[in-house]
Amino acid sequence: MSELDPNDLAAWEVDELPATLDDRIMAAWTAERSDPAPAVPSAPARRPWPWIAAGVAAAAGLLMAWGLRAPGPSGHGSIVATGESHTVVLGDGVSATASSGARLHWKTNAAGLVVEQTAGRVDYRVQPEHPFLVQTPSATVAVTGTTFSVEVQSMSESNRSSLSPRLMALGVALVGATGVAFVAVDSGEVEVSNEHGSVKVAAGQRAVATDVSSPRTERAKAVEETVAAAPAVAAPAEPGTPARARRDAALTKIRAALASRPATPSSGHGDEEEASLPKGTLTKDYIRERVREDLIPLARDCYNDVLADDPDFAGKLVLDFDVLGDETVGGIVDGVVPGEGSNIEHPGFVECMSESMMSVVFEAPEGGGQVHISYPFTFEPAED
Amino acid sequence: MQAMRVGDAAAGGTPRGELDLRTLREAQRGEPGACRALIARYRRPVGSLLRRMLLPAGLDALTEDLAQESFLRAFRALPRFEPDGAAKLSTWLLRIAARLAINELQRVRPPTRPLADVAVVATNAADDEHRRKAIGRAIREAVSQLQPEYRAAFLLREYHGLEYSEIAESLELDIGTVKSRLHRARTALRTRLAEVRHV
Repeated sequence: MSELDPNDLAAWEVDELPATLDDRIMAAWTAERSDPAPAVPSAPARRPWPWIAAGVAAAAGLLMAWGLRAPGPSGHGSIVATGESHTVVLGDGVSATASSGARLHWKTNAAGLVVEQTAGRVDYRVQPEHPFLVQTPSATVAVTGTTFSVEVQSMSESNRSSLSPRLMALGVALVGATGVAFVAVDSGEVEVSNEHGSVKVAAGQRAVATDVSSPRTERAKAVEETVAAAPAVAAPAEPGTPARARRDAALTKIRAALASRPATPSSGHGDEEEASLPKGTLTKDYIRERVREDLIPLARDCYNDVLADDPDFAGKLVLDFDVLGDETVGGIVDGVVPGEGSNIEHPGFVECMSESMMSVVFEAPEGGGQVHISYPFTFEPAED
Repeated sequence: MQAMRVGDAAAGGTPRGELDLRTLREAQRGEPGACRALIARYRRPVGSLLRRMLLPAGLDALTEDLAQESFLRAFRALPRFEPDGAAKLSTWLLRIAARLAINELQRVRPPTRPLADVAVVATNAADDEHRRKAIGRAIREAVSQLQPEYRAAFLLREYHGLEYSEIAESLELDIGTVKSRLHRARTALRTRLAEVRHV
């Protein structure tokens, strides 16, 4: 067994593989079993895109190749760009310029051209009448007649610190994310989608998607820019991240905007300042959707962390919080506290859940103002 | 994403229990539910081994791809796996993953630096968290100095508890050489860790 101090060894932490990988492996295995051709002991297969299984045998030699490969006679090929950028024609009317570090593989099947981009930045130029798909680990980009770029980054240990502020400012969930795709459209329109949702991205817009959250577009970025232009706010001590400072600045801006409106009767919750804020509305379905989309992946991580120390940890946590919003700024979660009916008091877990809740992005309540929400969560270990 | 730690219930090492025999038999017959259960059971140890193999070379982005290929290769060979044989399923899977990672590292051959040139990274001796991170970085740096096959040997021994004989056999290395290389690596690492603790 180990001959070094286990505590020392434990200090080198590494990120866990995402559970979504199970689906990818099963998809690849199922595709392989239904098509005996890839039974060749191939070079390591890239992600189990449905089309790649059929192409593994022919493309295996290319998948791990370093450098540039021209499209094969059957309309497939690979690039692992090193050094200078490379431009290659992927098919009729479609060209791609891969920057150093980019990895992509493409194949033409019955549905048309499909590109798998697993790393780096690639600028695409697509003539009209030549629709195709770019698949990244975080999202799929459907394309018709346009010029656009896709940048794929892993949420590796080395990347996380630089990407975190950029993503948090866009209201994109970070915990549990293993990869992110940035899409910028110069002309035309593309649709970015993943299992969590989809969004159309028009010329001049950008979108971002991770493997744990739905794609978001420029609207969120507008919030970031508005916040960045707000008066400087001192960063809190520990949270002290640029994203948190921007969030607090946005909150200050929202409060200032709402304070200038006619006062409404107190809801009976919060201090005098909050009591003077106008009451807004958000539908239950919308709140549930946002919580499921943004919070649940984070909550699952909070819970798994506690389970690692206490496998029987379970209970109910009610989070009371406010969504404050102004149409020009957006909605911000504030005042998150454990509510009545909670039986979980684990400080670290409550903090993790509260911090996670504050990262959830809402639209501004209808007409602007404040919405008080009490949201119950039940936690119980999954059966082994 | 949840970070893995040695000593956790789910540890970065071997799982708490091997896959039960019935599920293993079903997986050998290719039943999807059992195959999925096998992946879920061994995703952590396979992933942690691959990450620790690849991360020091800047190839962390390949971890998922190699994990996928590890399981696909395992499924192809699973009908020939003998549950009553000498190797546990976890050991068998880790060998597959280690070989893939070694191949990948030998393909790329990133530049390495001698251990003495690596800076001590502790920034605040009074801060336990900083010190812990410094220790983690020191281990990572030390591992990065090892050739791929000995890197795999170190990780399989220290993080996954494999016996020297299992390591030597699965990596096709001489057991004496494995022991001496790992002894040297540990000695260098202990020196580094002592430095970190006294910064």
